[in-house]
Amino acid sequence: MQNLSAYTRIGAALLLAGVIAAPVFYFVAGSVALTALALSSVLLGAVALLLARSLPRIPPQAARLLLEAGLDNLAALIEELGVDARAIYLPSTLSGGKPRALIPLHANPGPPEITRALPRRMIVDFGPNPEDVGVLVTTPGSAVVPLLETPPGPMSSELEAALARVLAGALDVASAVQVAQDAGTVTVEVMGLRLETDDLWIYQVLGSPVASVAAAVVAEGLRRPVTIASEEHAGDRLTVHLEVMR
Amino acid sequence: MTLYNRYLLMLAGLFSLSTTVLAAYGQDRLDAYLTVFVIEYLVATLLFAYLDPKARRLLDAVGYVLFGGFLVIIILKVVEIIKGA
Repeated sequence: MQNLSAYTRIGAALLLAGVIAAPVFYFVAGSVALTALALSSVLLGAVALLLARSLPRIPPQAARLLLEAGLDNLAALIEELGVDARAIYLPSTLSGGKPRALIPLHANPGPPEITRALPRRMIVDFGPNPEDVGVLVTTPGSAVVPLLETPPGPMSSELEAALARVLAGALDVASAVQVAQDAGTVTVEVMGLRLETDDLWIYQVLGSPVASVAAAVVAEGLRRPVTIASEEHAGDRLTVHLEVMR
Repeated sequence: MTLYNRYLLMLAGLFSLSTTVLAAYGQDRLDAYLTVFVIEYLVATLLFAYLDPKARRLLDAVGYVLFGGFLVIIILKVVEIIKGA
């Protein structure tokens, strides 16, 4: 019984109570309203049992440990390379079929222009100049984009729907998402955020996990590279400002 | 509050409210209650568009079964009316 989720226990209790109570209320008490209430309990119980079947098999704490272990390894690698440039989130069309982030090894005065698809390698050259070399990495956002059944469109409403589907639906770490686009910038506002993360050094390069998801989905939707310009936390709200590159 | 909890609480709230209102108006036909429950279930499930795809598939399957039951209730009512006429 200890391995059962709360949904399974509540579902089984509601279902059982409803199945027993409905005939008693109908045939013994003769109350239609109470019978209906018992039947609604059966329906609620069935729904709770079905929801329990779709819960992720990996506990949230274990998922968090895996995420932090992966990011720690990536942070060690990036730190060793002496990189301090912000990651550029690339759509799958520019990064070998899977959305990834490019971290330039040399800080350039202007944003690099990525016009061709990069090979599926870790260290890639992305421009004509010898210093246009970077590390192509998989981020939390890269792993989340395949959860979308269809690729997002470029409109704000389409990006908003895709982000809500991922953050509020599949990951269940937020309540609502708002997206606004304005002349080369995209602002993503995440409300009701429930993901607690430690302040890792790597977040200065990749952004926080939720910002990384926002950047990856927006890059995929716009089919253009984006960078995380800034993030602002205020209570359970997170505002992510993204810059869209050419 | 997680999405699943909000969904379950919304369903529980809707079912309780509709049962109370129908009982207060003296409704004594069980099919009337069931019809309202089915409609509430379909609307609530439609509103929670961002549920996990697996959960959505399972809930949609329940929706089809309930909608089938709803159609049976309507057909029985139509037959009753035709027979009465």
